[in-house]
Amino acid sequence: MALTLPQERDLISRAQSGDQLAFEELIKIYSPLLYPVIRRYATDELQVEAGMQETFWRVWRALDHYKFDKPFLPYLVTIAANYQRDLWRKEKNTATIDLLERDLPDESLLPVEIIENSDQLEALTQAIETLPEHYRLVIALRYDAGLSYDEIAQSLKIPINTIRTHLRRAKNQIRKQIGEIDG
Amino acid sequence: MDKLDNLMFNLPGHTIPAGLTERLQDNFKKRYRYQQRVMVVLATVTGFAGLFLIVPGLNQLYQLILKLQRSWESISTSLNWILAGNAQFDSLWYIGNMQGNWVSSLAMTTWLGLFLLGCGAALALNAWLPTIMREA
Repeated sequence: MALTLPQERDLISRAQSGDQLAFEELIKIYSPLLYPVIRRYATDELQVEAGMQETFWRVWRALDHYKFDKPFLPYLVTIAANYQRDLWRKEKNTATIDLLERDLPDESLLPVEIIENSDQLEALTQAIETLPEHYRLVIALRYDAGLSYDEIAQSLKIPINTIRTHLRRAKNQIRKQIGEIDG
Repeated sequence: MDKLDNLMFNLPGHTIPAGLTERLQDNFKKRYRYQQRVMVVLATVTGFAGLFLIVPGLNQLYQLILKLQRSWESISTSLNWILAGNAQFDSLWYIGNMQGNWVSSLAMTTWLGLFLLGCGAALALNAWLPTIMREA
């Protein structure tokens, strides 16, 4: 359901003033947009659902602080990403730089010859799924949510150069997996 | 932007499974109601705790009002007594609490008159007496 900017602002304003139904409407509109982003970095559907539930609840609680100078989807994505990072930290799954730089297993390598058009995208999707979680998170924010490097850096509160490094290393690993893709 | 970048921007997006939006809305409703219940319980507990804690303060305030009322009654009585003209007799014409004393045998005005008379006499003497007598 497409929403014009005034309609979106009206819904958010009503939700900010405590209108529960307005917020449920926001969930209805934004859950299909948020889903692909979270799905990209989450490991399974259960994690996706838990992440979305927690994201929307956190958004509801912090909605008073939302300013209309930024679009709402990046705001949701930021909260979702930070929730996921908190979760990873708690689970002590945070990979160190050394781990992030590790080579992926050879058995997942696919010869470049068999990757053509849609097959390429399919292979790419699979390759992303095998990446470490922090890389998947940055990829989701960059390619699924369409955030700029600067926006990702602000969202995750990490230096922009780290974002660039994460993306470069992620792409290197993908290239290793699916073979060199000509630019 | 290289080819890999292009491909990644065109990755097939995952479609939200059927029923997930409704489940998210239900979850939100559930959490919202729970939060409301917690707020009601907290408000009630806090309200009663506040009332309980404020009772000694209210009692103190009540006692203060009683005390002020008593003080005001005294002031009011005194004012009435003064306004009834008693003060004029006791305080203006006679020095209070000195009944039986020689000072109170004369009215205040008499004492004042005598004092002024004394002052006048002193001034007159000072002016009229010959210089030689004053130097002596």
